Amino acid sequence: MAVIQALNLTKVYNESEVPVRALHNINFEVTDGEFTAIVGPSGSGKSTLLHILGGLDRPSEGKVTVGGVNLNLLSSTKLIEFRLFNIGFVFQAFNLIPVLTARENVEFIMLLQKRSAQERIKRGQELLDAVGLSNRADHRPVQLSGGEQQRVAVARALASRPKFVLADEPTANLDSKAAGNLLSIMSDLNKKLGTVFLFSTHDERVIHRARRVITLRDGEIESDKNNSR
Amino acid sequence: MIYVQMAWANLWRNKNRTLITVSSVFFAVVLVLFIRSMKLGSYNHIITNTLSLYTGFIQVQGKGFNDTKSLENSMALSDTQLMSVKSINEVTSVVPRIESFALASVKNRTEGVSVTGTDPKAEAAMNGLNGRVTNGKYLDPHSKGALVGEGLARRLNVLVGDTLVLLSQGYYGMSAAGIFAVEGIIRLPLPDLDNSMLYLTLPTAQWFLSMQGRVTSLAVMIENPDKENQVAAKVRKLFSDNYDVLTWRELIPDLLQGIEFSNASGIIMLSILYLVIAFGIFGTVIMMTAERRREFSIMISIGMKPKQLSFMVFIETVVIAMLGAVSGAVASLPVLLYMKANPIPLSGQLGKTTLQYGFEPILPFLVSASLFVHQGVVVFVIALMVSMYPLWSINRINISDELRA
Repeated sequence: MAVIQALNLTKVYNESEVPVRALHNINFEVTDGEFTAIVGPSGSGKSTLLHILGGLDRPSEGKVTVGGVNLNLLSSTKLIEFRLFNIGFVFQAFNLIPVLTARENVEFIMLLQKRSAQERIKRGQELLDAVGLSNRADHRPVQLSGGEQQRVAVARALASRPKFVLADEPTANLDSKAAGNLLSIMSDLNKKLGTVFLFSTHDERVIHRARRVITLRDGEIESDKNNSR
Repeated sequence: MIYVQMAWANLWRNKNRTLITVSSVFFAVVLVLFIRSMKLGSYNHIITNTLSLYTGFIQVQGKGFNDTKSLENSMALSDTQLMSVKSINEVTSVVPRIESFALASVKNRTEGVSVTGTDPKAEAAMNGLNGRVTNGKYLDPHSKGALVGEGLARRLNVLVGDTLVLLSQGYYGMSAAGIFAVEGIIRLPLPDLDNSMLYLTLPTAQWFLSMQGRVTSLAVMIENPDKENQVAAKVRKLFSDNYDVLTWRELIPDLLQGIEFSNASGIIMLSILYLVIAFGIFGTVIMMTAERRREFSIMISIGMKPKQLSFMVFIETVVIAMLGAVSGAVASLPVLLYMKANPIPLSGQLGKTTLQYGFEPILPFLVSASLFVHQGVVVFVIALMVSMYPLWSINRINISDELRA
């Protein structure tokens, strides 16, 4: 079943004198349990596509449906609420809330969802266990390494029980070991929980771990194929 | 509660930024408190000096005397009435007076004079008139003579021990004439008064003007000027409708208008200062908002609503404003109390001029709870108004652009 559907997506930026076309006529579907990489050189439109799929930006033309809901039809406030309950985000620069501990960062999403304290504590602990950080739960982001911070970010992204997780260049700021470790964790969680992972990257280490690879070039899909490993 | 915890933690995440913003509020509060305390202290000084010498804070008069200063509008004043006014808690002194006019004649010179019959002891207690004697002696309760302003003495060419004749119209049109020895010469602060004022004891004036048991006014001094209306109401209850009980604002509206005019210009200056302060705080808030736009975007992108984020930032600003306002007020208090106890002395020509007007040549400070509350609240409100900027900014944030930056 399609979790995400991108239909004729086009994005044009009109901020400069000459309009810049970032995406053109993008069409694809992501189904349950996928672990998909969106690859391409810088400026190919990877981040723009992820932002539109995640409801952080709106397309100039076309539409995105997530679990059958057309994101174009949601108001800004509804869109925030939709993101909170349906989409997890992992950013390149980790972007944890600096004043909260690892545990609090994970629980914060559930707090916004108004889940009970009991549920927050239980699921928070489960996710920190899953990313191998239960012993660092009470540390603040500044006390964690880059790899540890990104693992907390993955746990945070999954805390809301989202339909899918969008990860924008998740390994770009990590060394090889930390990147490999993170990919293993994401892959395991994808298999274990069935949560869709969709990530942009141009890191070869990441690309070969993906089961499907969509390649973008100049804002258009150049190729879309399953990865043979 | 999590928003409060996060707001508090955010404040100390970037100590320098927080301290800079708190400092801008702190110095704003200190500055406005200092300026306002000095300004209000000066007004208070002028009012207290003027009122103690002339009207008192409150006056009881015969009906209509304030409009038509005729002895026909004088009032009977019994000892019981006098004592009952004195017995009001906030009242510090009361002075019964007769105020009239006469012609003073010495040899071939004649001048119009203002005659004031008063209780010398009460007058001295109220305004230290006894301390203004430059020659001769101050009146005692049994004196039959007169105390003459220095300027008037010069105009009449009289010295202590000389006699002068007073001619006037007494109560109910009785002719009034008397010979009085000059017992003392006094220096009065205002030239107009100094050139025309002549004091008699109250019984002497009553005899001279044929108005035994009557006075034209009862001046009342109070301890706390803020309670003027409250005391006036208490005094009003003691007298029938045949009396007027007026506050100094009704008695000398010119003084009130002068102070209000000066205060208005002071408030304009203060508003300019507030504006400078507001822009100072605004600058730091703009800097803070610009630094945190990406952080705000992240929080919105993961599902935090702008109103939740705005609430958190609002708490941060409120805490900053409160820290600045309270610390500014606390730091100012000992300084202002010291300045109140040790006012700045005025030297040179300014000091001399002030002294000539009968005022102590000082720049006094006023310390009152209302001063702190007013200025603290104004700066606090400015800080809150400035805090609208990050709230506005949060609601206009373009998450995608910020995340891409």
